[in-house]
Amino acid sequence: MDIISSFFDATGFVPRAQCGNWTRLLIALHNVSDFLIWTAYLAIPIVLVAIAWKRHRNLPFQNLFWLFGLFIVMCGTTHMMEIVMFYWPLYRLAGAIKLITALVSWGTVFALLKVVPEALKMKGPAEFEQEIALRTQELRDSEEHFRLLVEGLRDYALVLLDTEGRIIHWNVGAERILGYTASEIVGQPLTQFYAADELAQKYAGYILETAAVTGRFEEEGWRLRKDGSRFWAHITTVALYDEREQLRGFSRVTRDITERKQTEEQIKQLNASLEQRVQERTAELKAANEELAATNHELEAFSYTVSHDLRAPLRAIDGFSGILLEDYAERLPADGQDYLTDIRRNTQKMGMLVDDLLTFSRLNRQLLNRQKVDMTEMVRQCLQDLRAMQTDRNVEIQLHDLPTSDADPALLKQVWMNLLSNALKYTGKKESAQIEIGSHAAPEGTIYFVRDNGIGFNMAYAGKLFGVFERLHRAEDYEGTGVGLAIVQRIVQRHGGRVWAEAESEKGATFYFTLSPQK
Amino acid sequence: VGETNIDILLVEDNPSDVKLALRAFQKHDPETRLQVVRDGAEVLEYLFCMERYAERRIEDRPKLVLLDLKIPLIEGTEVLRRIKSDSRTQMIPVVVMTSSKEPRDVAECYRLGVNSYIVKPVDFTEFTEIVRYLSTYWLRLNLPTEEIMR
Repeated sequence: MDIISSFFDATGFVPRAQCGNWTRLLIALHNVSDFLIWTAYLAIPIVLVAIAWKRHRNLPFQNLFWLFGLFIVMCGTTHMMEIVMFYWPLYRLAGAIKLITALVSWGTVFALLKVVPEALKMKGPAEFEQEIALRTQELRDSEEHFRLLVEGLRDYALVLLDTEGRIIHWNVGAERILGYTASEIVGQPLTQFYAADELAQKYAGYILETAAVTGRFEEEGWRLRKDGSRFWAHITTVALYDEREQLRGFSRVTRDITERKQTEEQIKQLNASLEQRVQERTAELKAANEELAATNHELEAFSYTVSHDLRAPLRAIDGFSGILLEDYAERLPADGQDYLTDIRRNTQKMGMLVDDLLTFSRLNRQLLNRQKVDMTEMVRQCLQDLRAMQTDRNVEIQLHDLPTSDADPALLKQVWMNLLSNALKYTGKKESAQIEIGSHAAPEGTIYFVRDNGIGFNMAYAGKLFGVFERLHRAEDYEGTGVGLAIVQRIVQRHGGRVWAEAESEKGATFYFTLSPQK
Repeated sequence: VGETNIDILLVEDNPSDVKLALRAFQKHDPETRLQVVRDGAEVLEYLFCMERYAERRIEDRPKLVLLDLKIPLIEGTEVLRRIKSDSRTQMIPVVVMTSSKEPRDVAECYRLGVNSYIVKPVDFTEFTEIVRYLSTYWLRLNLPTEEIMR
């Protein structure tokens, strides 16, 4: 209390009015001016406070703002004290106020200096204009992109609704799918697209309510176009919220999936009839199988007949020719005997052809009896069986160890027999025959081969090699029916493998084959 | 109708084959007693002494039946089955001599108890040789049961 009362103690001072020759005009000049300055200095902070009040949030440099207000108020106060001092010499109070004003002023100066760099970064009005123009352009572009995008969606009806469910935007896709133009439909309520009865109208309302709560609603069903035609629609309704999470309306994307729906229906129908078809086919297949079995049976009967009936006359021709040669030789001239010999040779050849053909036709019917086969041993046995072809000749046979295979032993032996007898046959005119039997591993399985240095063949005719009755050499040079390699190929193919050959005329041939493993 | 006691009963319907076989057997051994029957019914009648062969005695069994499979009336496998399933005939050696190489036929005959299976060759020379082997083996080397020896 003492300090405060001492501020109002004017003892020892004289009011300014009593010092010097004050004219009324000079008094007025001082005091009125001080009063105006004071009130002006008070008005400025009030305006500032009002601004601060209005823009309560994003006021830049808020602390500086308040400090600046205080600074002006203090300046005003010093001017008010001038008027007081004119009549009441409160020099102590005036001094204190001046000190506070001085402190606040310098505080403001420092505060200002502190924010200078930040303030320099702030944009000026011209810059703002420029930026606004730029933003506006961007916004316009973005709006245009969006509009083009929406309008371009010809396959999607894009409809915007306000919160009440009234249409506020209608794109080209909507026009195309639903038949209404934007001018006809904008402003109409969504319920327009639902049947007039109460239930359907409630459903339209339910869609919007659900979308507003859960964010989206999907529906599928028949919808009507303007012309009354139906289409199967898939509709997604999405609630649109603004930054403050206020509902602003709804977007509805409608797709015409009638085709898909029809396809689905067709698939359903197809599935339904599939069972029936499967049954029908099964029956057909069964019939076909029976037919096939019958055909096979007939074929077997045919082969049987061929093997029996075709050979019997041949045997008779050969037999009686033989008897003529044996019993009546002395009564036949030499050329007559030659003809009989020719008859016998041909009948025997015919006999071999019949045999080979039978073997070949049997290959297609015979079931495979796959088992593990010792290939090296099998080749050894075949060479033993073929020893007649090796006598009185210079034959050098090189047999490498062969990996075992999974095959029908009886059929496989036929493959080896045919390939090995071919090798022996076609080296028959060489001074020293060289035959090599070996194998190598390959991605498709083991490749077995038989190589000889015989007369070989021209690779140009390699395609004919495995055909039935195809022969690459003259019969008088090399005997054979032309079925052997066809048999080899058939057996190898029945095992799932393949056979091929490489050769050069007069240099020799190599036959390769594979047997793919049982699946 | 032939002798009562024969060596070989030849079942063959093809006249050419019959001629060739007869000549081959005669050439090898002119003493061979050979009876030819031409179909499946006749074989059975002969062996079981019925109809045409009713006056025959069933004890007079041939030393060998040479049976073709493809014969008229009753087929060869059926004939074989009847011979091998009757106690009065099952001890008679039956050799199938046929054109068929069908594995099915071969297997079937062995299953029915055939004593041997020979494929008739086309080659006359080979055929003659086979006849010679057959004659030597079944009529001289092979020891039959006493019922047949009588």
